[in-house]
Amino acid sequence: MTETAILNKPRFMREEPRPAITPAQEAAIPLWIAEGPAALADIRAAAFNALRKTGLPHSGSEDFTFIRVGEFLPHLGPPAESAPERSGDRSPAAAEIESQLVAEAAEAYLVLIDGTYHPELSRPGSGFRISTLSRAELAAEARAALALIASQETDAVASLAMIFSRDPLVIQVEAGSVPGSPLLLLHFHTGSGVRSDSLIIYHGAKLSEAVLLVRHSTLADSATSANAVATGSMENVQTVALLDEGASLKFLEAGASGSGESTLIRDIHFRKLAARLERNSRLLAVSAHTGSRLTRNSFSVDLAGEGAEAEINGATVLTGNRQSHNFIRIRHLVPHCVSRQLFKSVAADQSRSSVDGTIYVAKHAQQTNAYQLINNLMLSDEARADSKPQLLIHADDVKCSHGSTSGKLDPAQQFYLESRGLPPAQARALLTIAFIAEVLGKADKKGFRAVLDRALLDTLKNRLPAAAKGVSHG
Amino acid sequence: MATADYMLEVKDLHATIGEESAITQILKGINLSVKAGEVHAIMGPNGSGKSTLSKVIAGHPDYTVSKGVVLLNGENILELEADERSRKGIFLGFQYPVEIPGVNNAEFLRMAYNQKRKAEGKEEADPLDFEEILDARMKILDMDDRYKERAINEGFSGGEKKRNEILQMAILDPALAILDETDSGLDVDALKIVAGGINRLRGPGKAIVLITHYQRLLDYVQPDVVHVLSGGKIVQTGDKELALEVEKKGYDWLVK
Ligand SMILES: Nc1ncnc2c1ncn2[C@@H]1O[C@H](COP(=O)(O)OP(=O)(O)OP(=O)(O)O)[C@@H](O)[C@H]1O
Ligand SMILES: [Mg+2]
Repeated sequence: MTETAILNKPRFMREEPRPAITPAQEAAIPLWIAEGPAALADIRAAAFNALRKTGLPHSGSEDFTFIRVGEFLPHLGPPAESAPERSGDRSPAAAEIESQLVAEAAEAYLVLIDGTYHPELSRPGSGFRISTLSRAELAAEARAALALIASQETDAVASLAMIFSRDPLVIQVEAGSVPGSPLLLLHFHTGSGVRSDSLIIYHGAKLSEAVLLVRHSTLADSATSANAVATGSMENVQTVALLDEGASLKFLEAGASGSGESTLIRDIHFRKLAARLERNSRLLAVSAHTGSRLTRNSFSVDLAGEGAEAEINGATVLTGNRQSHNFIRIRHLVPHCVSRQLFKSVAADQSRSSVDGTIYVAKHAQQTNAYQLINNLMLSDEARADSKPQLLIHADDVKCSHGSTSGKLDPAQQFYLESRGLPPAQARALLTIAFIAEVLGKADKKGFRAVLDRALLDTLKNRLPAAAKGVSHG
Repeated sequence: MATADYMLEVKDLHATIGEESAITQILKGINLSVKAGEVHAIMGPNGSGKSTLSKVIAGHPDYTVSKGVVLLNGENILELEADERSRKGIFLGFQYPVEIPGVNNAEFLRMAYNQKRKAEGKEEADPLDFEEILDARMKILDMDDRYKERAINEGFSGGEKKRNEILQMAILDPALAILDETDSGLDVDALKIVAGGINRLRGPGKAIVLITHYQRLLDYVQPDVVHVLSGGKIVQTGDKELALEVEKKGYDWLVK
């Protein structure tokens, strides 16, 4: 089937019913677990159990409402060649690493190739304890929290990341420690035509405070690139953040580097941030993307200790026939927690975006304060943006609000700008850029913000009329 | 009299809002002539059409002119878009300035300033030169540097928004300024500052139309002509004594 044919397929058309997981997987995964490092076995086993319960995604899967499962299903199953070390086929050159650095973290960055941590290419900075799960001294509570997340997972793709990630990177910040600079995670993907799974674990101990910056890029011209162009590849990256009492984490992620139109479009990106927040801990996440053939950004946050606060923000600028789908689950498990979500997307051409976000408030989670806003802006009639905000509230004393808007720019704002002499095209460009810049502004690290600006705003400016060229953003 | 003597001429202006089944006639035959160098005040009861008149002159797309013309220096401007009218020298100070999150105030002012320069056939201003111009204007209006960092009107108090309108006017240096209740929401000190800003614009080549409910602005900016607008028409025109009379007696005696 051609790509357009796939895009034109009516939504919700039934796919062939599929078995929960294939017999081949049933057989291969326990073997993979048994042969792997013993220290990983419990987490992998928990994830495998969850996967068996959930089964592989199918067209009726609630977790994939706006995604055509058939577009990525062929990529699931065990990675083609699980056994040999595949990563390292192609390593980023010094200049390639250099090009990904940002001012705030020039001395503190970790290089991952297809999810595998490469210490010889990294500079761990100070204040962060870096290891991998097979040898990490992870506190018992953190390990238990990780196992809990693995066992409760209902997203098959996330379970696969937990099962097949080779030796997950573990980043720890000690109690009371506040590293002087952010830590930059550089994900290099070799795009080798197959799936790569990775798990990154962050543990912030009591009253620690840290900033993680995350960038993804695809290494060009790897040996297998001809194959990769034909089939595309699938990157499946899951980050688990475990925040102890009073810990604070800023997690700022840039979907892809630059505003490149060519290489990344063929790839499928699955990204997930799963977080568990204990008493009085705080999480701020900003995730900015330009999509790909299929991008799915998932956030799953458990507010598990009173006084915890989570703010999750997403910005997407889509052109061509790119897709980006956001999937958010915020669970208020205890009283007195706060969650805020702001998701904005601009969809041009024939691109597609969606936000499927649910706030769940448990029965005893009184005094919950939860807020969710989804704003979509369509630059073309063929673009499409779906929103599905949802509240599932079982407590009675809560303050929850959600809303979604889809459409055009505010005519009153447009008239205001035009009444000061700005031509309509320039006024529209300014407002469109401002629309997205509101989310990017929450990434308050200058160098990293510049990365986001280049990726999203430059893409936008290229799409807007020439009048936008003079538009800057501050 | 020669048309060109007037900076602004509004002749038998009728305007409506809404479409098809829900058309409302708001302006019902306005006549107004303002010479260069003059300051006119327009007063009138709530809902009489003052803001509508100002927005129709500025080119707001929601209104339809069903009859009449608006001339600027003898040229009919009704066919022009709002941005073109602005670049021809019309400035509207809004009664309710909108907030525009994400668009930096100073950046926006520079873009507007450069559009004006382009229209005059001049080169774009160097950012540093513009900064100097901006700083000077802000100082006169007693605005501190924070305004430059902030988004347009976002989180501004009512008075701050009005001051920001006057700042924009001072930067664009329009031929015709229509200020719609710029005095509302200002305390006395702010009123004096804003009035000072308006008086600085006053001059032989400039015309100013002040829409106001209160005499106190007119104490600081003395009008040459005062009009009372009611029910979509100008029902009375006089000198500055008319404003004092309105303040004392209200509008009832003017409205049948
Ligand atoms: N969108 C609309 N549809 C229908 N009528 C409208 C609309 N907008 C304004 N009007 C009406 O037009 C009339 C004139 O409004 P306008 O804002 O011009 O009055 P105003 O003289 O400026 O009043 P104020 O002193 O309160 O500012 C009012 O009766 C108002 O209700
Ligand atoms: Mg009004």
